[in-house]
Amino acid sequence: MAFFEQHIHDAPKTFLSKYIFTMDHKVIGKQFLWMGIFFLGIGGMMALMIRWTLAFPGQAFPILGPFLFPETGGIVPPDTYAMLFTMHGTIMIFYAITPILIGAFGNFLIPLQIGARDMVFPLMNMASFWISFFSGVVLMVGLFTPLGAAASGWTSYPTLSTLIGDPGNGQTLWTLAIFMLGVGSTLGAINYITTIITLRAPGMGYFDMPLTIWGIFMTAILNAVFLPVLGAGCLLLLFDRLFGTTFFLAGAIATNGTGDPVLFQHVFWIFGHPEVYILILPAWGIVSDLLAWFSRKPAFGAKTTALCMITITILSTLVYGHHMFTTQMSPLLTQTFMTLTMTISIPSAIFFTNWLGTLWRGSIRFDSPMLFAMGVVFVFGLGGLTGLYLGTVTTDIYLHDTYFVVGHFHYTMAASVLLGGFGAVYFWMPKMFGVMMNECLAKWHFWLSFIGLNGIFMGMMVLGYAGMHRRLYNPFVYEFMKGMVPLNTFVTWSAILMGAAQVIFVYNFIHALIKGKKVEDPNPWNIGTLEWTIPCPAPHYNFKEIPVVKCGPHEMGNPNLPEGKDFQYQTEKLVKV
Amino acid sequence: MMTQKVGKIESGEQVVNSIAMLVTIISFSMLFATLFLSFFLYRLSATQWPPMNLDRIDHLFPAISSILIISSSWFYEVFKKNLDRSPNNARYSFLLCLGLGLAFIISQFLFWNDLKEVGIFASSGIYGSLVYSFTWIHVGHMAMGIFTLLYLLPSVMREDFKKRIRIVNIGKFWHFLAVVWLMMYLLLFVI
Repeated sequence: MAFFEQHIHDAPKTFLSKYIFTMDHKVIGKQFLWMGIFFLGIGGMMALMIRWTLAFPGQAFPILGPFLFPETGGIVPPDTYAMLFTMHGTIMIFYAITPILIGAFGNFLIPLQIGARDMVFPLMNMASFWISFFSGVVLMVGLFTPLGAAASGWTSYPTLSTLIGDPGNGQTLWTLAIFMLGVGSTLGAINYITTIITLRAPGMGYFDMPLTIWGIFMTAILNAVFLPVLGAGCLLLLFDRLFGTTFFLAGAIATNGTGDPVLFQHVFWIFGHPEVYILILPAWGIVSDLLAWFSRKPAFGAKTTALCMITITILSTLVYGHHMFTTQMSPLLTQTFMTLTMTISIPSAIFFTNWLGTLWRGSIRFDSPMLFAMGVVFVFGLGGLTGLYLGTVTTDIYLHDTYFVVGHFHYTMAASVLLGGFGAVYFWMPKMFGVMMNECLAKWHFWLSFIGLNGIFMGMMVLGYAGMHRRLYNPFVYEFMKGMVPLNTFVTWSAILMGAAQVIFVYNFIHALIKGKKVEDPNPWNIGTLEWTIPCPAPHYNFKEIPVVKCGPHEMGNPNLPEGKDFQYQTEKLVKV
Repeated sequence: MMTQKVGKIESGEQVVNSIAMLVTIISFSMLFATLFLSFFLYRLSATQWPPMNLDRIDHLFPAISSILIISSSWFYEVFKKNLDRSPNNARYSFLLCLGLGLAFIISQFLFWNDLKEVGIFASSGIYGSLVYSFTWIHVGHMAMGIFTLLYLLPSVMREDFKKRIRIVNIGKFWHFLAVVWLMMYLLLFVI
């Protein structure tokens, strides 16, 4: 299985080669983690500004407001509001979730969990991080241009995103940034796919990989195939903005020779629907593993879960039309897309049942990673079920572009991925940094976040069902939405609660890094996968000797195990009677 | 053919690089496939093509470009065949391949000048947009291809062909660009 000899390289000595231009997958993973947490903070602050505006229209945003918007006395101005929701979406999806789940944990876990010394192409790995980093810089520069940042929504539909709708440089920079990020992520994806195929430790078949790796593997495949689609769309949009081409200008094609704005929607969602699975698949994988590990029993139907992930990956490429039911699509097509969308619920339901089957009669340990994993089971179930109403044409026509959509995709993409990501941080903290985080604070963080996010997104769904549109600066100027102020205020207070809970996390994280107690035990959670066979934190060469894998990743609670031991390492032969 | 030439020690590394190259080519294909999708969308929804009563574009430069890029690809194959047989011939065919690639880029610039003289600009409607953008993006990739060839150049001049995997993979990318150009030629200028 190993295709070539992996040599142990000398540890890098200078600061630059160790921390900045590093080719070590673990350090690159940490770089991605820092970048993701930084952008998570910025995106979260933007979310709070959006929520504040919706709950208390015409009131100054506390503390930061007077500094950011001095000309209005601290009130978020309408044009800034559009920039805020655009940048919030873009930052959270492309610069927070992608770096944390795919960049950080993808990089950190793939070699450790498959028993390799590094990625196949370390240089490409470094390039992937730095391209992503600079694309983040390009995006943020947009905020400081004269007309402000991009303001056409994270989907950047033309004509809003053409020069007519958004004449400033912010949108151009946004498009460039997304293109650059696409290049960076594609480089990463090529690396991940090749590494997983070729560097698995001897004896490790595909189904012996932890489900985390399965999730990241599927994500990498979707990334490699579909990010270039968005890249092409971004290039055309850039040409429209810079060189006066007319791809996305509205008008009849034959008579005056202009383009078709709906084309961008097609291109965007051909990429965009796989993108939501790109974000959620690593979280699914992590959660499937965590549930099994903390229930102290093998993952129920692990092979089926992996196969369901493959099925969903394939199906996710065929359903993008359900984002476009209201674009005068032919009814025949809408029904086709609706049926295909409904088909996704079959594999989803299977592996959701597998999650529950894993929990069933397990000796569950309620450590913080497990709490987060179980939180994902709840919020993802809710988010997935509400998706059915949006995938059905008849209900979608009513719910389209309301807060119901916002609530739905935040449940699936934000809540699930965030909780999964936090669970992963708490869980792999000893392996990444050699310290444990405070368990009590972690539990507070979990419960406050969990209550907060359910308040936010459940409230959003109720609002949307009542007909509140998304992306409105002040919805309460409309007669029928006047009664929604109290519920909006509730959602905003929930958001503030959730924001406050993240302060606990940041404190806990920083405190653990600076003053945390060093973990002596290489395996504090008693888990059998390969990364727990090596010391904490992982040495730069990972494995002194490349391990030989003899059993699956969740061999726990085996009654044949000797007394006092409820798990076995993947390097040990499966214990039989 | 190549697998026989490459020794056993290298073959593992070759598999790794082939997988990575395959994924890379798939990524690039999706980029161009999206462009072709947009072409078909405009082409099929237009009642008349080219739109706005424009005349068809003169074939001369695109046809020359096609010949140049095909022969460049062909010389790359000649280069690969001669690696062991006659290193000197290999070197010459590599240089020919590189020269023809550069000539292709020049022919594209001439083609754009030609278009401008007829009065078709990137900003003059969807037809101009399609022709310019597609050729720009392709030439951008051709420039990348040229860089990879230049990267190979020093070792070729030394007649040092030990990095077989690199030669094979750069060849794959180079041929891919030729195929993309031929598809563009068919779509934009022939049908």
